[in-house]
Amino acid sequence: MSAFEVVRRLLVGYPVPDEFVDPAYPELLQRLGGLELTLVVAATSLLLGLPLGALLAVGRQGPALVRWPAVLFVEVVRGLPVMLLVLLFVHLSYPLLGVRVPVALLGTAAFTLHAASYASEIFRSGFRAVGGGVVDAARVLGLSRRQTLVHVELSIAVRTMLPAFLGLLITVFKDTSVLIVVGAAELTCTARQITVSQPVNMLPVLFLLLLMYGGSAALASLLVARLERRWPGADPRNDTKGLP
Amino acid sequence: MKMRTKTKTKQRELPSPLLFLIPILGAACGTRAAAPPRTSALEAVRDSGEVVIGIGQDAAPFGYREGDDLVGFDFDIARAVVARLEAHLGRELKIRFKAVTDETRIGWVQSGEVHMSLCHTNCTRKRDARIDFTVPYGWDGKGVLYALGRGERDLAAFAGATIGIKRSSSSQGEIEAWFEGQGLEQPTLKVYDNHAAGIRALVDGQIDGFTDDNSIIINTAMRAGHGVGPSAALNVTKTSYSRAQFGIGLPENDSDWRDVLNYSLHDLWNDREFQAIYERWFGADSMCPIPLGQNRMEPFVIG
Repeated sequence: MSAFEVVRRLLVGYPVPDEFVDPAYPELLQRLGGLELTLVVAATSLLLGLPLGALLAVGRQGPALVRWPAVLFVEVVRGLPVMLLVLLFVHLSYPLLGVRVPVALLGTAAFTLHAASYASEIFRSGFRAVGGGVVDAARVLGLSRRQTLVHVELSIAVRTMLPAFLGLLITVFKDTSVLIVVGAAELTCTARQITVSQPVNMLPVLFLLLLMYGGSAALASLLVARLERRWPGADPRNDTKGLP
Repeated sequence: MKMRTKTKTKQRELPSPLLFLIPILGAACGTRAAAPPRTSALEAVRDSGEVVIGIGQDAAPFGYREGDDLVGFDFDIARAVVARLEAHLGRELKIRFKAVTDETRIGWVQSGEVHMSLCHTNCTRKRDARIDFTVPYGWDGKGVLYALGRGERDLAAFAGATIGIKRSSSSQGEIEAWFEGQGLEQPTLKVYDNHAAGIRALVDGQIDGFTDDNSIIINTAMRAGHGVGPSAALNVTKTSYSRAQFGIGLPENDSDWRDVLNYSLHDLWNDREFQAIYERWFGADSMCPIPLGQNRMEPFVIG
């Protein structure tokens, strides 16, 4: 197996034979592998998990009927190792629901809940960071309730939350490697398939894994840093903008 | 004089997160009750026209990647058994494979996620307590793969040595029982995630030997470019500490399903299709020839 072939397999995985594809579910997701599948699982989990986390954070400020289920969810899910969460999904989905779901989807569902539980706490801490005095000051200066929310509260909250969200993004991205234990053909699983089936040296494959995980995480860090700089008021240097 | 200050803090304590686990664990333990009604897998397959098969992908020659293709003895047996099932059920069946791992090959049979599982699973009593097996469709021995640098060795030479085994393999209990039975010092067992990693460690000199089913360790070593044999760099002990008999994993106490799969295997044997498949993977030209010899199925008399 040439080095080019190893890299290609790590990026897109092995071809998935038709006999492994369940027509009841989107074919594309079932045919993905390698880094592609890792990115799709991580991105989908975050895209679904962040709004769910926001709802949970709001729910925790609400009446008891909403607050306690939200607290229960966050405390339980956050307290479980993500591996256990994945195993619960993989082993309980059929007995509880009576339907067979592809492991990539079950893994995505598990990571969505995992991301949501952490995101809810990040949202909570972000909104707590906005002091009451700041809001009062904005209102005294004549800003409307909406302007205060958008230009003051959200601005400060998002600035506080961005580094934590970056941490969550990277955590979810690299933790998807636990899906190897249930046979989802993500990046680490593909690396194992290569080393098990091909007469290749394990160390270069591990080094490529390191580059792919580390490189993707570094890229995410750069993007978030760029976003932080562009965010109004996010960079302390911008705070002095417009002042004499 | 010691001053004691007692501060009363009125704190609304949240119940421990562990308490929240109770309903989840309750649900998990009660899945039998919540599970879809347990009809025979035979009925489910007949009604749906689809047979869901758990299959391993990480162990040559049973299931592995040959280039881009998934091939192996288990794949061929699974397809041949389903062809016979079609004849028994009188309808066409669609095969759906699901990749199984050490964590799912037994659990998915128990939960009904797969109708059967072919993953070079040794029929041990411990496993038989959780699932059922068909008649054995594969046979092997378990020796220890070692580097020939220090000369030829047999099992007893590994007393007190460090031997690698694969995670979730039944080999651990079996090799310990053999050394205990011989009154020899137990080897130190070191667990590896997969066969390739264990053999790599052996070649690097981190362990004295590596063990599992002979066919798998020999195939894996040879596919990784290491020669195996009396005149090669690696060799396998002549003596085996245990036998392996591979069976198709089936849901527990599903007699109709077990019968029809056993008959399918018997039919394959009677028609010599089984022998042709076996020859392809374990014949004289294979990496690890295991002559059928006394390993045979004993099909029931048809009548």
